[in-house]
Amino acid sequence: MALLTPGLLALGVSFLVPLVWLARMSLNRTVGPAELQPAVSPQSYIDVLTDGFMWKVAWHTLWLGLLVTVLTIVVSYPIALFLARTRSRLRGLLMALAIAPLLTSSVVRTFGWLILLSDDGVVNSALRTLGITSEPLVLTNNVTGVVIALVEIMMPYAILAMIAGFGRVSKNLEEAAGSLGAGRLRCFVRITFPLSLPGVFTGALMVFVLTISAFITPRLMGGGRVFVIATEIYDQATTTLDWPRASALSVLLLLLFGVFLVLYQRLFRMVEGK
Amino acid sequence: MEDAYLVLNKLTKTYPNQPRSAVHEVEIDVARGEFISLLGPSGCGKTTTLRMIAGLITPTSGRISVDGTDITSRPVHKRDMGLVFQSYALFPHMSVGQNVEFGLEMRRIARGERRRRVAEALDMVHLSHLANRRVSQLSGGQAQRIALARALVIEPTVLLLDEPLSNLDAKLREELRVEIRRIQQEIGITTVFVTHDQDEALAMSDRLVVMSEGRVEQVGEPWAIYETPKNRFVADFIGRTNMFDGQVVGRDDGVLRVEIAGVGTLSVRAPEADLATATVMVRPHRVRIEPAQQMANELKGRVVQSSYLGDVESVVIDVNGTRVLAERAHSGRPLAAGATVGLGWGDADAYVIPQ
Repeated sequence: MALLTPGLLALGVSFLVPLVWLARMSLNRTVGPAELQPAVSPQSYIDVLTDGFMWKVAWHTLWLGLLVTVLTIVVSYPIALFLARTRSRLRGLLMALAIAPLLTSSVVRTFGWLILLSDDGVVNSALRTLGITSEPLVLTNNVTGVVIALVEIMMPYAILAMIAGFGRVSKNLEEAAGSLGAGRLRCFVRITFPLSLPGVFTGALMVFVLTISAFITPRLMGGGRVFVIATEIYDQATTTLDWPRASALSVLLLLLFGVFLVLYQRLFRMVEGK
Repeated sequence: MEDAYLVLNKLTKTYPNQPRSAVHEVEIDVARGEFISLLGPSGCGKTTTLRMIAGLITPTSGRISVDGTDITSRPVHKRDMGLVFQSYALFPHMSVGQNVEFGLEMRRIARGERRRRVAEALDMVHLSHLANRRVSQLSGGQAQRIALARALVIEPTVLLLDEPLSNLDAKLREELRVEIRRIQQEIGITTVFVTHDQDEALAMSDRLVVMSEGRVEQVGEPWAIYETPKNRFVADFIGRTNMFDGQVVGRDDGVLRVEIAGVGTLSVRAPEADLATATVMVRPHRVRIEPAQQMANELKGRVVQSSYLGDVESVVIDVNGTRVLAERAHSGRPLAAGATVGLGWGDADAYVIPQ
């Protein structure tokens, strides 16, 4: 118990206190730009929830989260499965390579994608040289760019989370299925894939949560044209200077996380069959 | 062998960067319906051999055939072999019944017949009442019975058992040993059983294959392997034994006289031996402690250690610096360390290892 104290203290100071402060702030009243009136009022929540634009942003955020999650899982799954099962001596090195992108900040990686995907960037010049396109594809300052960059940024997290959740996938089970007459495809569909689902769900939750709270990448890659809840909070807090409203949005985003966590646990239990 | 069913012909597996073959030119013929055990210390190649038969490992060279058909290059899912693992390998996301049904589904057998055969298989292992259980609710013994039912329901050509009893506790192991043998004989399936446990191998098999360092050391019926091992390795690996190396000093009427330094001259029945040196083997249970009548070989020694095992007493005796293991059917108080005792055995109790 004593060993828990430093952790609990740190968590309390850095997480719980700001959270309470945030909740309190959301109940204050805004009387003018950057002018607050201490109050206990649901006004900010009413404002947010009755604002059609906010609903659009929320819907957009969810949609982006789901799209990025699905794409990230699809491209990360084979890598994670390979890493989880390989007995190669290169496993350590390959693991390190898969996780290495985490060493650079997502700001740097987003700028990298901005350069790669710009009108005269590597991707577009390659497409033009190969004669696939005549006009450059618009891959930056829009949702396409945001999705591409987010998927790449989320991959290491997805791979790590999935490997951790692949504990039930085992060589022996696949061999048993083989001896019973299952070829490779049927073995994957009937044995490997169902057993890897806990890993897929862990990875998906992780990516989804990170995506709907992502701020830097939608901001930079979206060029101010992609609105998500996180960028909206930032705008409300720094541009409009409406702190209660920014706080109310934050609290609502937090509630959204909570809802998804509960749904996820339900789903997870269903898959595990317990 | 005339009616060989499963034939391993010069089966070899070599891994890159390893000086020694994991399995080297293994030749085994298994008759139809025979229960054969591959026995040896870990790393002897027994599991590799089994996995090659199953199709899970591709041999470097050599052939495998079943009932006259070469199956060396046939993939695992087309081999029709029942496989049981040490770890049970039941599919955790399926019920017991679904596990057993899996192989039949893969064979696209109609639903009605599937049901019937699953019920039969579960009945065979006396676990019909568990059909709807989840795998995680099974005990180890139940899990392995289900694994056996799952392997047999597809009516495989050969049943392959990879240390199936090693994860179970002693009592259950013995119970399942009897049950596996019963089922095997009932349906008359050709079976290859891999184990490092010699009691299991001796008790269950029609024949044993003793392996060491990727090679077959000896093939034979359990009693023959135990009583007449072909070399020192087999003698030492199967059961406990006393081995004495010495010079042959005489021979008379089928009895060899062998001089063992420090111990004396031993008499041993060895019909065909014409040797200058010989290794004499005598099993501990053949050594009498304080024999009532005169014996061909008699020694005196000091008790170093005595282990009381209930039914028998296992005694280590020092004879002039040579350790001799003896066993006596127990009769009361065990021998005290330090006591001087007489030992004896007949010339037919000992055996000359052919080397």
